[in-house]
Amino acid sequence: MGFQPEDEIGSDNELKRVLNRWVAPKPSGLLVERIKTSFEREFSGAGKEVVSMKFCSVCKEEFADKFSFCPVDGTPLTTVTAPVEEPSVTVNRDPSATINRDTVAESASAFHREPVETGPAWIPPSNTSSAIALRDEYHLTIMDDTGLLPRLFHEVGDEYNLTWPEFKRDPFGFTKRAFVGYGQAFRKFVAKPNVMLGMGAAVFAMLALVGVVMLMDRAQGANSSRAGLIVFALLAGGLLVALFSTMLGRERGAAVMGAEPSDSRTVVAGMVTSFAFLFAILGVIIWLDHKHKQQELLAQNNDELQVEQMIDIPNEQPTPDPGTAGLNKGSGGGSKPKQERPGGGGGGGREEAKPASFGKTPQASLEVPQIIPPDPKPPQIKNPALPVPATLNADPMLIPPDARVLPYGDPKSKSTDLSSGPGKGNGIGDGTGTGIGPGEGNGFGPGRGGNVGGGDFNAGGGGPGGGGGGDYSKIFTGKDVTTKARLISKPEPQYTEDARKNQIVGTVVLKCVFSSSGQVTGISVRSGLPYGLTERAIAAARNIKFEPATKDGHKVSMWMQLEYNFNLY
Amino acid sequence: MPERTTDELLLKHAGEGEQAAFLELYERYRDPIFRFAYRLLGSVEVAEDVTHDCFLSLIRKPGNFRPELASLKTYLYAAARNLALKHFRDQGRETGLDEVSEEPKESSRRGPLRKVLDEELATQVREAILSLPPLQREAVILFEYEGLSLNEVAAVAGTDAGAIKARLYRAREGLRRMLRPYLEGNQELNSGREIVTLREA
Repeated sequence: MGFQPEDEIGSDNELKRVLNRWVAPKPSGLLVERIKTSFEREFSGAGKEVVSMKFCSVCKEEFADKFSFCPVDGTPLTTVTAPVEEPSVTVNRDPSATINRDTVAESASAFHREPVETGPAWIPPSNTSSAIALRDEYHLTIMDDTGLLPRLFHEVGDEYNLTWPEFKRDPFGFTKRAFVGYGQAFRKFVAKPNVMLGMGAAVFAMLALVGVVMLMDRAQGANSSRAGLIVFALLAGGLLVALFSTMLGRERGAAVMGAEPSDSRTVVAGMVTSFAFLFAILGVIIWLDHKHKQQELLAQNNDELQVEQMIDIPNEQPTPDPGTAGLNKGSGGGSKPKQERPGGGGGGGREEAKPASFGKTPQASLEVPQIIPPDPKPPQIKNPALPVPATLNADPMLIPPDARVLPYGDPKSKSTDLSSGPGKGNGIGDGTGTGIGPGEGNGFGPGRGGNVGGGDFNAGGGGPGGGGGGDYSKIFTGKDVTTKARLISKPEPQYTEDARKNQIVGTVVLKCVFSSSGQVTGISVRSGLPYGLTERAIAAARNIKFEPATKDGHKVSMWMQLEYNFNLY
Repeated sequence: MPERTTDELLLKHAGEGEQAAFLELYERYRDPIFRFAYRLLGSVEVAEDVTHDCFLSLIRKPGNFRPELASLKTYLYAAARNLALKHFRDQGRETGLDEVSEEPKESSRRGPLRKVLDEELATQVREAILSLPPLQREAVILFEYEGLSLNEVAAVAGTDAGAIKARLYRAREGLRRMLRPYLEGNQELNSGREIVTLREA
């Protein structure tokens, strides 16, 4: 050991000499007077306030007169009429003399036997009068009705204040001691009679509930009556409660909680509460299960629709092609041989809050009666018997067929939320009618009475263009065509012998026209190479196979630039 | 009453409401209990409260004192100790060091220099004692100041004599470290301090 034996302990005179320089004062004379006053108050009864107490026959506790029912177990309290001359059952309200709950709590956590704070073992009275008759008995009494949570916080705070310094000083030792302590407490608890029986009963009850839930789940698949099963489960649970109440009542039930036999009512009440809680959990599970089933059913309906192609509608839509008509551009356009400005328009909508969504126009026709375009956000119909393509009452020369896989909508819209728009008449847009756009009628765009072009209906003429019938014979640039030319085969040029010998490498750049007839014409050299490489590049370009570009459904010629790289490895 | 009535008899009479018996008990043990509480807590007011509650517990809960286990003096020390620990917990701190003015003013006939030095030393000792952990502090107070034996200190603290020895050993080590300038092994340093203190005074 690192300390000295007792004889050496007492021999440190040098230190003691220094320590004795600190002289304690004498207590003031007022202390004697305080002591006298307190003594007289204790025995004379002066200043005492006699509080009648109430007694709980179940938990054997006394409570303040303001309680009508036991705060612990809810039992109606009986009034205790204490003789005034018996100081042991009176409560002194003098702050210096009041023994409050704090004192009791701290006495429980003191280091050892505490003469001040701890009274002798409390003897449960056989009846009320004997409890009162014990003159020198200190009765543990809850003097206030502080709620559970404040008391819990208070106790936790006390425990924290007591244990935190110890934990800070020696965390590992503290943890080890805590484990050992709680382990011993658990073993002690388990070793009590009938505790294992109680725990087994609880586990059995839980398993029974799980079994009921699983049974209900299976029965749901078999389309059995769920209500009947719930009734069955409730009955089974009630029977279980009754069974446990009978089996664990009185002797055994009390022993489960380690309490006196008379506490069996508390045990049974606790079990009933537990079952109520478990059934509440069961109800939540059933509700969640029901909701989950509904969602699955909805998802199943959606799954039955066959997805042909996923359409990705970008948020940023390209500016719609102004087209040949419908925007009052140009001076003509239409199927008539003679140039004539078209007119008319259409609009519609289904009075929805959102604007009409982006999409393509239906097939245009001035001859076939219009088939109203369907709602972009249609009700889900499984396997429609006769799918019919929608049409638009307009000149197909002005609104060529749109091969894109898009839902029907307003090509000028930027909205991607599927909607028919706020208009009326079951069309699409914010106009009136069965057409598309802001106009009135079954056509497209502003205007009235069908077709496109604005104003009143008029079948235009002079071709597809808006400026005199349109010119599809000219050579377009890439940005002017609807679809660009698509390469089918592109033969590679061969090196010439001279170029190989002379180690010629580089790039030949050609400008050419991919004509509407499917040939490469109009080849001009932007950048060439010597020794016949440019000629080889031109020859290769002429042999390119391609699908011509289109504009408004017409094949058109298109400028292209070709680059041939010649490399020697 | 006999000339020297036993504590048990006095306590019995006090429990029956005889104030003289109670005051006799109070006079017997007032000073040691108050000194112990004062040195443990460092405050006259709190020490008086502790002494008051300690004695009052004798008549409120006389059954707590069992003569077959310990003497009344040991019981009162233990009661004061528990009340002091309760005070520590209530206050959330261990000591109050801002009450130097409450130090007893010893009216000695020594010169002013000696008086200043004594007061300084008393202050240093007080601060050293109060800076000890509570368990070491109570051990050193009971053993060194109150003159209790190891077994009596152990009975008050609710532990065994070995633990008290260990606490005393550690407490003395701490005190020697803190009071080194004032111990005889450091006479030169002590003299030097006196000179410095004199100049400051």
